[in-house]
Order: sequence, then C-alpha cells, then structure tokens
Amino acid sequence: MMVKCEDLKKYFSSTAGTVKALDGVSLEIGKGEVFGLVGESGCGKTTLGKIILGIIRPDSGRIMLETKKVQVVFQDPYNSLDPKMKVLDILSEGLLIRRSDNIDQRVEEILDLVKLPKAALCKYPHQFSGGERQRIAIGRAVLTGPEFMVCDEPVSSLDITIQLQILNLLKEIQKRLGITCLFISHDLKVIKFICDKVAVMFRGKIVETGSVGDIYSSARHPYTMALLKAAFYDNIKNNGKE
Amino acid sequence: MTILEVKNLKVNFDVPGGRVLAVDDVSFSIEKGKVFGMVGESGSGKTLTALSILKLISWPGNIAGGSVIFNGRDLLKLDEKELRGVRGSRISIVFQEPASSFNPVFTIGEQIVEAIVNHQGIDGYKAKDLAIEYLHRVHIHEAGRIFCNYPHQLSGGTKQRAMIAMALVNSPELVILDEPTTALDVTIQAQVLDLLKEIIEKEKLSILFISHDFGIVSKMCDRIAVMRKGRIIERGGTKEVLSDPKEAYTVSLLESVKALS
Amino acid sequence: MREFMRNKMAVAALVFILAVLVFAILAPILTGYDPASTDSKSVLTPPSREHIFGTDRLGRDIFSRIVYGARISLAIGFIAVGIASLIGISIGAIAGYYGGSIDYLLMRFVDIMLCFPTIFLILAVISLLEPSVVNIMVIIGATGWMGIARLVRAEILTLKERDFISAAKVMGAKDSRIILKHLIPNAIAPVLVSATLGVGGAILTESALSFLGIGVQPPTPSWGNILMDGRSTLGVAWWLTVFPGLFILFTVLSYNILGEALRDISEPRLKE
Repeated sequence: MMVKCEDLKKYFSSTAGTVKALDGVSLEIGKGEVFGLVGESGCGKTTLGKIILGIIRPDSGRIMLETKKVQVVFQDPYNSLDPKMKVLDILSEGLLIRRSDNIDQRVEEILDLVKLPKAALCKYPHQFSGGERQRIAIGRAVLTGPEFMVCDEPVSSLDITIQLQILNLLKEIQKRLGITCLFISHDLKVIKFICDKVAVMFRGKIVETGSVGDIYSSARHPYTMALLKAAFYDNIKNNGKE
Repeated sequence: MTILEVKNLKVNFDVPGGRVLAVDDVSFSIEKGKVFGMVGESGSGKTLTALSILKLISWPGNIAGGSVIFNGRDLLKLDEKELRGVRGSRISIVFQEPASSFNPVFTIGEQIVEAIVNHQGIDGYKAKDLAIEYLHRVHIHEAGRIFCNYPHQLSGGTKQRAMIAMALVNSPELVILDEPTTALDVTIQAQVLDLLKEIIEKEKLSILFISHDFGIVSKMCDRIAVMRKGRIIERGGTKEVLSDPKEAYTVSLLESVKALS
Repeated sequence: MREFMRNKMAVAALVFILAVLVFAILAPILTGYDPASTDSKSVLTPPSREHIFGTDRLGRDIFSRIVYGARISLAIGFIAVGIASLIGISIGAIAGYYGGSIDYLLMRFVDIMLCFPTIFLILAVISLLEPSVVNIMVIIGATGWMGIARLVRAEILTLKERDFISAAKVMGAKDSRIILKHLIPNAIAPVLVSATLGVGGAILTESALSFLGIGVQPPTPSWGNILMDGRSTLGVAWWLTVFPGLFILFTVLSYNILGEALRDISEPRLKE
C-alpha cells in the first residue's frame, strides 16, 4: 500500500452553513497503481487530493503515506508556475532544496523526457502555451524522483489534441518510472484512458470503487451509471446524429 | 431557405505584439430549421465569429471586413438602434458562462421580463406570464419561485436553462449557442443538451452551435464547419465530415476524440 | 515600456528626475563655489552672471547650495523610502502569509501607527534626538511604512492561494523560501508605485522639517533650510525663496506623475 486513508472528514464553515467537503472517505492505493478519482464539481475530490498532499489538514480520520517523496501536477498551467521565475529555476528548485548535485545535467535530462527544447530554460512561463507549461509542471514534479504523484485535473484546461499528448506523456512517464499516481478528474473519458482503478465521489463520499474495466462495463451505483451515461453521451463512434 | 449568410468576415485583434487576424475570411450560410455547428480549439476564432454576427465585438477586437446578411440586410452596416431591434429578438445568443450572463442585482424574472418588454411592447403582467411559461418550457421546476430568485441562488444548470428561456422568449429566427454546456457539470451537460435537442426539434429553430467538443457538435448538428486559426478548413454534413475527413487537422482532431472515448 | 513612452507627461517627469539626479551627483563639477563659503562682499545679490541664482545673506552662492542641497534632499527621500519599504514589506509579508493572530496583531499595530499624526510624531522624536541627516532619514522611514505593509499584505493574501505556492510547499520549500523567493517578487509591483510616490512625500516632509529649523542644520544645505533662510528676507530677496521652492515643487510633482504613470501601467488590463 502506498496510500491509505481512513474515514477522512473535512468540513468548511461559511455564512451559508457548514459544507461537508469530505464526509468519511476511505481508500487505498497500491504501489505502482494509477488510481483515478472522479466526480463532478464540489464532490470533494480536490479537497481529498490536497489533504493527501498535506496542503490541508483533515478534521478527523487518518492518512498513511508509505513515502515522503510526493509530488503534484495541478490543473491550471497558468497558475501553477511562478510567473517571475525562469524555467531553469522552476525546474531546479526541488533539487536545490534537497541540495542535490548534478542539477544542470538532471534538468537537461528532464527536458528530453517532457520533450521541450533546451532554449526553454531561460524563458518565462508566459512565453509558453498551456500544453508546454503543463510539460514544465510535469518535468518539475518528476525531477525530484517522486514515488507518489497527485495529478489534479492536469488536462482539463487544455485543447483536446494537447490533452491526448499530455496524457500519453503521463502514461509513458508513469510506466517508465513506476510512479504511483492519484489521478483526479471530472472527465470519465480521461480516467478510462489512463487509470487502472477508479473511485467515484459524490457530495464528499466515495460511492463506488473498482477497476476501470469493472466500473465502465458494470457499474452498480446509480450515480456512477448517470455519470457514465452523461460522459459517453456524445460518443462519436456512432458517427453523428441519430 | 438561407436564413443567415456570412461572407468574407474578417476580425482583427490588437495584442501587445501587433495586430492579429483572428477571423480570416470566413464565409458560411445557415439554412432555416437546421443546426449549423462550428468546431474548433481555443483561439480558432469561432466565438469571435459568433459575436461578429451581432456586432458584439469591442476593443481590442474590431470587425475589419465582410458582410452578415440576415433577412435581406447586412447586419454589419446597421447602426446601434437597428441592431438593438435584432439582438435578443430576431437573433438571440446563449453564452457559455451562466454565472456572468445574468446581472447579479436583478432577479431572473426581472431580466426576462425586460427582454420581453423591450422587444414585444406588451405590458408587465402579460410579460410575466410569458416568462413563466418559457421557464416551464425549459423544464425548470417551480418556475414561479425561480422567477423571483436572484442568479446566485440558482445552480449552474438552472441558470443555463433560464438563459435558454430568455433567448427563446421573443421567438427568434436564429439562436446562437456559444459553448452552452461547457461550463456545466457532466451530468447537467447531458440534461441541458437533451433539452436543447428537444426544443430545437419542437420549435424548428435555426441554430448556430459553437463548441470545442466534437462529440457534442456531432450529436446536435446537421452540418459542421471545422475552424482553425481563424479559417474554416473543412465543412460538410456531419456524417460526411466524421466518416471521411479530408484535412489533416480534422483527422487529428477526430483521432484525439476517438482515443478518449 | 511602450505604453509609458506614450504618456508624455510621465516621460517629461522622468527626464526631470534624472536631470536633478545628474545635477546632484555632478555637484562639484557644476559650480565653482563652495556652498559653505561666505563672501561678505556679495551679500544678498540678485541673480547675475557670477551667481546665477543669486546669493544669500552670508554671501553664499544659491545655485551651488541648491545643487548640493539636492544631494541631501534626494538622499533623504530615497533612503527614507527604502527604510519604509523594508519595514512595510516585512510586516506585510509576515502578516499576509501567516494570517491568524499574527496577522491580527500586526495589523492592529499598523492601525495604531496610522493614528499618530505623522508630522507631530516626527517633531516629537526629532526634538528628543539631534536633528542629524541620518536621524531624519530613519524617522521619516519609520513613520511611512504602513501603506506599503497593507498593500503587500493584500497582494500576498491572494498570491498564497495560487497553485504555484502550493506546488512550492509540496516541493519542500520552507516558509522563508516561499516568502522571499515566490511571494515577495510577485507582490512587488504596487510597492514600486507606492515608493515612487513616497519619495515625493519624503522630500516634502524633509523640506518642512528643515524649514521649521529642526531638519537638516546649516551650514549643510537642503532645499528646506534654504527656504528657511529666505523667510526673513522675502521682501527684498525673492530668489532665496523662489528657486528652492521651484525645485521642491517640480521634483515632488515629477515623482507624483511618475508614480501615477507606473500605477496606470501596472493596473490589470481587461482580459480577452
């Protein structure tokens, strides 16, 4: 087990009342798995991701992480890179903090891995497209040799052709480096493409878990079925208007 | 019968680097009672094209040329007063963001009634009845209550339905739908798309449907135009374009969509 | 940059500021007269070819006093603002980043400081200490940091929610690194505007203090104390008041115009 969550609860209070962002969530992610977390907006998936990353503290429940080497790729490539830092500094920050050696060499290797040119190093984030920035974010995450990675809607802001590129890149990296992955998305099609297992979230609870094959062919919970129907509503394999 | 004809439309955009031709010589026509789809990725110029039809472009964009023929008149040559007569009544538009489409300080009902009164000149009571009738038509439960609600009290899906009601309330000849479901949750998207399909068939509306989502466009539209970098690079009947795409870009777009299905 | 060039007033202001700066730096070359040297034969002479701005009641050349005085007034302006910025950025960053009771206490401290009428506070402190140039710099800086603190805190409150800050935390960055390397560089823009406007204010404050006699002490010239000298002889020697007055006016005006122009440039533009 790489990650184990037991009965996590997180409440947010506002003038409108108390929101149960997480209402007793338990899950397990095995080593080397690509685990998908799917749900619509407000279901708590991003909150769960942030708690696992340690950015937010839960109100109750336990988390056990088998490793300290954790990294993240966020959704918005326009917000996840420091606009005032050069790409070289963005990429090498993790290594600098860990006082690693061979920083320059490792940065160059990562550029190859995420398929960015060397010239990118002295540029600033705003000089790149969304897909390129996401490659930088992925490079930054992978550079420190993580054993576990959280990807929070990493392709939702991208055009579809770029989505496919980035997903293929993530797939390749995950296979090659054996990184355990928590993949958060609202898009069932994306989850199907990249994940082994999936948990469906609704209003702060996990309503169904299973392997991708099982869920997509024989879901049991009504919400899962509604999600599947909606997601594949526009399946163009049927070639257009009926 | 052609209801809208766009000829050689050109739209410029002033950016820090210079001037970009965001819509580059775009021409197409929409037949009465048919759904015409425009597909393209971000930056392809599809939204600007839609906004140009109603001359809703403002700085840093500006319409540089072309004509938009509707009911025998070139809309681009009309002055503001004449255009106001067209917008919201002869041609209406549903935008992507339900949150910013309604004015937050007025109730939904007040805004729909305003749209009715401005164009149909009927009195407030009749307008209110008409508004509630249309709220029913878009399957909003408790239409009376929603009529009195403020935008922030409604969910995204309900707001979008209300937007659609407002777009239909003056019986327009053409409705432009600019990414009408993109900002909604997946399950709500499906519901709203079903609603749109139902209404389009029942009222026999003419539609310009804009989306980045090939899947949605192919389900809703009779004809498709694929836009890239300000130009229409391929067009045709939906079935034809899907089964036999001719441009490399269209092919790669379709491949990506199929891979993720 | 291009936008700035379009604002002709701002360009003019910048040119003037640079000109005064150059004057101040090149002071010894520009004038033949030692600003402190007296000449009892040319007391209170009006502007002439030998003394282009005239002389004061001790026969000192006004032009050289103004040019040397520029050094003092500008130095006080810059360093006071530098001190204010340092204090303001530190307090604002810590309050904004840590939030909670630290934020509450620091902001109440800011509120308290804002309650004091600055000029009286400065008067009180200066009367206790000796009015040296260094003391003046420090006291003006120490009473002018509150606005900057609030600006920085506001920027940081929004910045710290952005994903690149979360990414840095996950990366293992310590608080000090996040504040110094990530937050402050991104929060600095409004500080630049505030600081530019602040230089004008600091120069005015110093002039006021020197005019009242508790600022820069003679024989060291400053624009304010040249004005003070001119008070008694205003009727007969207008040049003692007009020239330093004009310099103060145009310098402060230029910094204000420059500051406003910077603010216009850095204002978020309409999104497409």
